[in-house]
Amino acid sequence: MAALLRFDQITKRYGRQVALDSLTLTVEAGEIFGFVGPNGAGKSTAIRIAMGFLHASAGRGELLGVPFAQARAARAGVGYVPDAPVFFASTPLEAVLFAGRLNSEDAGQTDADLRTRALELLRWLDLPVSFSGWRAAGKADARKLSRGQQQRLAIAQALVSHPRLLVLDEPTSALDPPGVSLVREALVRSRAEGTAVFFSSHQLQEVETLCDRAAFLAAGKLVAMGSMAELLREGDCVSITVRRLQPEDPFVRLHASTLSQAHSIAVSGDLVFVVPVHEQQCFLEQAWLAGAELVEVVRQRRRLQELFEMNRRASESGYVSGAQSDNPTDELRERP
Amino acid sequence: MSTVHIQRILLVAGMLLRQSRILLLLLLVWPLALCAILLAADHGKPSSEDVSAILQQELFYGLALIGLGASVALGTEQRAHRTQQVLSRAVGRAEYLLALGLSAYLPFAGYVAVWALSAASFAVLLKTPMPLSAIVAELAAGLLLCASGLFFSVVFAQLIATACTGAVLALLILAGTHGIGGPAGLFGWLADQQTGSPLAVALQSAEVLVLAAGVCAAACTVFARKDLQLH
Repeated sequence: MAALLRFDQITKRYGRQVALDSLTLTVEAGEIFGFVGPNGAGKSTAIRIAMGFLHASAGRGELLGVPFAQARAARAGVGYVPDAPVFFASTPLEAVLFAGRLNSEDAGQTDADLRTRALELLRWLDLPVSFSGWRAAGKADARKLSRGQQQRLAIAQALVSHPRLLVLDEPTSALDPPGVSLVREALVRSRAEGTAVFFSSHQLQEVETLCDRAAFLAAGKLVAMGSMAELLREGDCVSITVRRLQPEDPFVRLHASTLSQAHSIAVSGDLVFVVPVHEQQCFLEQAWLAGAELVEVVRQRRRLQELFEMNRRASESGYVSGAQSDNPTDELRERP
Repeated sequence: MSTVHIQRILLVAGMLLRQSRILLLLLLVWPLALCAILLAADHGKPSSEDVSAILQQELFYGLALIGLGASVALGTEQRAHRTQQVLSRAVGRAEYLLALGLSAYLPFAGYVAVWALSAASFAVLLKTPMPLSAIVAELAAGLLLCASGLFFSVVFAQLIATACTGAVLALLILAGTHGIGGPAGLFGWLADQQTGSPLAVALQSAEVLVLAAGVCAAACTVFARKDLQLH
C-alpha cells in the first residue's frame, strides 16, 4: 500500500542553520503516527514542509502520492490542525462549512453533505451549534471561543472533508484534561473511519497510549523510529521483589550502597530492587544466601518518557550528529 | 480560470472582508454623508468651489483610509497563522493571493464607485463634466497599491501610499496653477494634455491594466516560491 505521507531525505536550512537534517519517514494508511521531540527539534518545520508552507532545501517528499510542492488538489484529502488555530469572524458552523467549501470540488461533497457532516462534527466535538437571542450573538464568533474549543473547532474543520490523512501540530497543547480526552477520542474515531493520523506532541503519555508508531526528532535529526512495541520493548533492568529481609540487614545495606542503580521500595514488607540484567544472577544468589524469599523477577518495560529523556540528553551532548543507522533505536541503545 | 477557482477566491475574500465590514460600511457612507451635509448647509445650491473642495477631501482622505485599512488588514493576515489554515485546504497560492488582493481592491472599488456617484451628482447639479478616465486611473492606482502591500511590509505599503498621495497632491497644485479645480478637472486636464484623443486615453488605460496584470502575475510567481512567514 502506498504511503500517505513520505519524507525522503528532506533537509531544511535557514541560512547556515539546519532546522531539519535528512528526515526520512513514511506514514501508512490506517495508522496513528506520533512525532515526538523537544522544542526546536524540527517537528513543526517537517509538518509545514509536508503541507507546502515551507519549501525543502533538499530531498523529496510526497503527500498522498503527490510531491509536496504540487499537492494543491491532494490537500483536499488531508486535514490539518495547526498548533494555534486562528479563525475568521464566523460562527463555528460557518467556520466548518467554509473549510469544507474550499475542498468541496476536489473532495466531491455537495453543500448538503457538508452541512450534515459539519453539524455531526460540532456535536461530536462538543462545540456550540446554534445561538439564539441577541445576548448570545457575541458568543457566536469562533474567534471568541475558548482555546480548547478553538482547538476542537480546528479539528472539526480538518475532518469535514473526510480526509485520508489528518496532520496535527501539537493538538493538545494548552488543553485541559477533558479537552485532551475529547481530542484523543477524535483521533481514535478518525482512525476507525479509515483516516491515518500524523501528529506532533509533547504529551508522551498520549503518544504512548494512542500511537501505532512514533518517531523521535532531536536537533533536526531523526534519532528513533518504530512501532510502539519496538520503542517500548523490554529494557536493560529487572525489578526483583524479595521478602523476609529487613532494611538493616547487611545484604540490604550492601546493595543499597554498592549498587548505584538499585533502589528499594517497601511495599507491605516486601523490598523491590531494580538491578541491571547482567547483575541479576549474582544478586539473586546473594539474596538467597541472606535468607530472602524471592517473590518475583520482572523485566522492566521502558517508558516513552525515558526514551524521550535519552534522546534529549543525546541531542544536547551532540551525540546524534553522527550517521543515522537503519534502526535508530539500536543506535540509541548502544550509547553510553 | 475555472468557476471553481473563482468560487474559492470569492469565499476567502468574502471572509476577509467580513471582518472589517463595519469600518468599510462607514467609509462607503462617508462621501454620501458629506454630500448631504454640503447640500443641507448651502440650501441645495452649493458653490463649485465648495464642491471641488469636498470631492478633493473625499478623494484624498477616503482613499488614504481605504489604503491604510487594506494594507494593515493584509499585513495582519500575513502575520496571522490563519494563512496556513486556508492554504492547508485545496487552495493554490495564486488563488489565495488573488483573494487577498480582491479583499483589498473591492473596498477601494466600492469607495471609488460611491465617490463617483457623489461627484456625478454634483456634476449634474453644477452642470460640469466628470471624466471616466478619473475612475479608471484611481482603480488602477489602487490595484497597484494593493499589490505592493502584499509582498512587502505594511510600512513599505504605507510609504508607497504616502508617495502616491503626495504625487497626486502635487498634480492638483499644478492643475490649480492652470486654473482647473477639483479632482475631476485634474484628471480631465491630464487626459487632455497628455493624449489629446479618446483613443489614446483608452490605450493608456489598457497599458495601465496590462501593467497591473503583469504585477499580479509576477506577485503570484514570487509568492508560490516563498516560504510562509509563520514565526
